[in-house]
Amino acid sequence: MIRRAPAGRRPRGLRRLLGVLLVICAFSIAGTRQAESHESSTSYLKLDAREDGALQGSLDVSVLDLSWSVPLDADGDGRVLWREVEAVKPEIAGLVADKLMFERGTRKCTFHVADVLVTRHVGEPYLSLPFVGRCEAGGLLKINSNLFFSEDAGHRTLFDVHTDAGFTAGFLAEGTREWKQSNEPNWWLAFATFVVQGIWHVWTGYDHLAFLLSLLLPCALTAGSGTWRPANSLRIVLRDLLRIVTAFTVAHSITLGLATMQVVSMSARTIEPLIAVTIVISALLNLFPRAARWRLPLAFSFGLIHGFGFALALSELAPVRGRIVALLAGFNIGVEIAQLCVVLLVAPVLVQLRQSSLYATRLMPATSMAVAFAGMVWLGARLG
Amino acid sequence: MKACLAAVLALTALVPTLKAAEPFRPKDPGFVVAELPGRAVRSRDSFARQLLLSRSDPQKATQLAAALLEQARVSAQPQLYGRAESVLAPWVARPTVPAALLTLEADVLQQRHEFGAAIGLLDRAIAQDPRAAHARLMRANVHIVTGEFDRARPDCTWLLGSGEQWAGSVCLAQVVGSTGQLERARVLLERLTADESAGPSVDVRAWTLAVRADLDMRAGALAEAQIALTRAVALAPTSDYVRLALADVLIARGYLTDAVNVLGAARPSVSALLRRAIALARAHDSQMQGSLAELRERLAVSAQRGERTHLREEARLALEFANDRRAALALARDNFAVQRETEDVRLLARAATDARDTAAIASLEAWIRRTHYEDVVVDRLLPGRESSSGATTWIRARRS
Repeated sequence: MIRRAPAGRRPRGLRRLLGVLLVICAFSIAGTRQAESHESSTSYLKLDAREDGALQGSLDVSVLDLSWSVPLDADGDGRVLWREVEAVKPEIAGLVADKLMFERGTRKCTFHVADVLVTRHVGEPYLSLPFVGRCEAGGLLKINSNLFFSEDAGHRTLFDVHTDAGFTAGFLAEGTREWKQSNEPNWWLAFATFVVQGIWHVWTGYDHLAFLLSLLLPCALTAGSGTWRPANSLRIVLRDLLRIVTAFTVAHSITLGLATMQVVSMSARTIEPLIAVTIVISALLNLFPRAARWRLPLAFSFGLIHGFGFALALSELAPVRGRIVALLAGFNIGVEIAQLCVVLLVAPVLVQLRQSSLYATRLMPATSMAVAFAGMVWLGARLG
Repeated sequence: MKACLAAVLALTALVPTLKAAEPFRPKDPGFVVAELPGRAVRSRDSFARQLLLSRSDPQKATQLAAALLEQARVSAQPQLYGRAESVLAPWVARPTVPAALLTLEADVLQQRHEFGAAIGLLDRAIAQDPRAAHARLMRANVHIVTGEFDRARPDCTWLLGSGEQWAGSVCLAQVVGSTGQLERARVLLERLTADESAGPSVDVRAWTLAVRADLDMRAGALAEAQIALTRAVALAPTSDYVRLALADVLIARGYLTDAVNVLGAARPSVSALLRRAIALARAHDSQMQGSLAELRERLAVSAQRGERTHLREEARLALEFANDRRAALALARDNFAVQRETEDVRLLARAATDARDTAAIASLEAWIRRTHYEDVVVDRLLPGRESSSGATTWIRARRS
């Protein structure tokens, strides 16, 4: 039996406490079995600080956490109703303004909570507090939070910060209540990241690969008197490859640059189906040797369309606001590297295959048909 | 083309993703934003004041922290451990503080799997007050969890000698049951739990039954484990720990619907979601994707918080759902370095044999030889152990 300590040896309050402790012991320390408990309180901070000084973001706080600091359950019935939240909006906004601090350059940023909304994180009820504000233009960003850390040692604020230097994620905790943007934004790293993104985009964007393949397929052949024939020399093959790939590359670089600099723009709804159309046309064209003279102008004009596609992909990547030219160049270089790899992989195969009569008459048309079919499927999906 | 698009959309729907809820403004003023658990116990408005008072009085700090931990336990609010720690932390650094305060902080630390630090505080508490039964019991349990059974033994014996017969017995049963005398431990706990009404409190009885079920499972007596845990759940219906243990037995016995039902009443923690996903997956139920998505989201948040407290669940997730044997083994190994309860040993045995990692198998076998640890599941997994195992011998003896 677990017995209480004999009366008289310890103060009464302590005796009662020991009773509680033994119950806690029996269960919570039965190993770490109640050890789910590390699922502690978490708040989520999103921040977007632009170079011109504009600041916006949101702080999502757990209703439960907030209920310790702000009287959310006015009638004490154990339920937090929306009207009860609305009644204490000023207190909530005041708490955030009091505990959260942003600084840029040499000055504190000003901001105010613009609204209170309801949301959920991992199934738990949260209040989302969007805010807007103003910082000094330029300079390094600093975040400081005292929200809940003093009362709850397990609290963490997970943050996502977008600045012109890029995107950072991390957390603030009791011991590290401050985050500072690192001294020198690492442009080389950003550049390298965009090179990788460019490569990744081509290799994972099967439509660009399909288009490139449809352009490359006839490179080892020459069109004469209505039929495809093996190219006479390696030099002819390489010259054709070079011309086609260069035309495509120059064209898509032009539109990628113009679209990213926002000189021209085209919506995804237009571009995505158009890219599918280019795949279908260029693949079907391979079935008609007489149309071979159109390959170069088409590679160029279709390249213009694909450039918009690359620009769309680039715009989905986080920080293209600052040093845009460097990042654009990085992305484009990545795209070219990926394309070059494809050419280097495909060209030797084509050179080998061209001697086989089956290639010109069967394999090349069949592959082109398959690519055209894939293009049609994508077109349907993108129009659907 | 439409059909093609429909197929693509159907495929996307199958991919387990949990979309972050879009923030919205409720139209109805009576919209229930949240339910606050433990309303009766919490004194929300005065927490700041109580925290302030606790800064100057260690007794007040101890009482406030104990109340928070009790509330965390009763109303399943793990966030309160962080609040309790805020109350306790400023005191822990001081040279003289009440043993009870140190024990509470040790509880918070061991919940966070900081076992070494917890033992350090418990050593301090016991040095200050050698009669601190709760600190002794906690120290013994932390040692048992980390697989240091011989270190737990003196505290268990002390509890028995000091009149804490029940807690001392359960404590000792865990130690002897992990050091070559599984059957003796089972008999001890069988006697202790034979009388349904005996025992100091329902919580202690539920704990005892859970320990008994754990030993039953290691002996391969799943039916008996299920009976013990069903009793434990009836005694402590709000305890997720016994529910999860019962769900494990039900899954092992193939009672998948029952397992899902038992988990239905548990808080959607990482452990509960994982077991639910496993039960649903084995029952070929498509709802599994939802559990899995929520589980992964919780694990992602935990990782972003910089925590590594879900190694056990991550290892089990990798073994059950991912095809990466090396990753599963790495997780199971890291987990085994932290904790060595029944599930941890089994996970390592399974991960090591799945990955055919002879070094990992050999080191686990060496640990088993050293401790004389017994578990039929582990013995079946590890090559060359089945014939030598005491537990298996015992089962054979029972069958015959």
